[in-house]
Amino acid sequence: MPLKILLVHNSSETIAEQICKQIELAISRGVLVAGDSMPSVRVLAVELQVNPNTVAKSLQLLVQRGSLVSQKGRGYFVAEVKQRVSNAEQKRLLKQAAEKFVASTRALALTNEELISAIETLLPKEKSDD
Amino acid sequence: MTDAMLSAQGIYKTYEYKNVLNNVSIELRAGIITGLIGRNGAGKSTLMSILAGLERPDSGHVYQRPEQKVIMLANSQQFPRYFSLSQLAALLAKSCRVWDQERFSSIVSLFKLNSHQRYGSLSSGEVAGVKLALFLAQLPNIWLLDEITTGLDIVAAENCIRVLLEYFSHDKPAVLYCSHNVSELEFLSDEVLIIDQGEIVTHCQTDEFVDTEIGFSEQLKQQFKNLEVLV
Repeated sequence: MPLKILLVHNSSETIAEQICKQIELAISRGVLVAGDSMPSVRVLAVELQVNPNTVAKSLQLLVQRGSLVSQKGRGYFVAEVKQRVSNAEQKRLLKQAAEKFVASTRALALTNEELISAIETLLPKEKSDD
Repeated sequence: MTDAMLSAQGIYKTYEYKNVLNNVSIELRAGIITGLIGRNGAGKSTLMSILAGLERPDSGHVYQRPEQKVIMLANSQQFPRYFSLSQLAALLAKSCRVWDQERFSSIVSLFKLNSHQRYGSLSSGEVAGVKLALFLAQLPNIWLLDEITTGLDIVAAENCIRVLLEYFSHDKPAVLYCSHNVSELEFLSDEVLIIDQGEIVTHCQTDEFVDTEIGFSEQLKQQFKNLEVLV
């Protein structure tokens, strides 16, 4: 599995958050696609050298966020991309994420183009008929 | 909530007028890794000895759930140098009621060793692997791990952690993980205990301990009193 998760010690993010973020980025980059099975908690824990409880917590968080689905007895799978929240909630969450991004990059004094480009590189390539 | 597998309440211990442990209480639960850190001389090893049943506290009480086996694995433990690995295994197998020879062999071969090698001929990374094998083959359900990666090279340390995590997932023991390696504590422990001058000064969930301003390491350091930087 080409999934590469790199964890940082001493960060402002907890290990569980880092794992969640990296899996979500892998999904959005297409390294993981809908229907892919995730490695088991045990395997991930050994690979990342992280407490399995933390790994389990991350995967459960991702299920709550809609990025993964859990099938009893079969493990975790990457979820189909479909809108799981109401339009209003979708707008609210998007605004929240955008505000966070803008606030954390303000001090870098970058152009709008550079900021947008940074986002685009992380997004999956979309087909032109949308 | 899992029940305690091993707990200590109100532990006091004094050596020659020095108060080594002062009203220390701790609880270890199945499937939970409790991290323990403290400065040298803070009382960690004494606490571990008492939890392992190797020493008695002056006052206070240790409770171990019946039918559970507590074993300590410490950096300082040594074995006779002239014994071969299979002789060491045979020795322990005789003295333990439970012994998993297959588990022993499996871990030994993971570290690329063969059972005819003598203990004394091994490098420190290999010694760590053998001690881990001897420890895990006894199928303990309460693990007291005292600085087991201290002094190991980066690869040996990683191999030890990986083996531990593999068997932790399988056995779900209660674990006390004592280390000076702060990143290990951050990655491995569910909760962190800081011991300073014989007292538990902090006890919290690891992810609650994360501070956005100063990071896990600095947070830990700030918990110790009398932090004097000498230069």
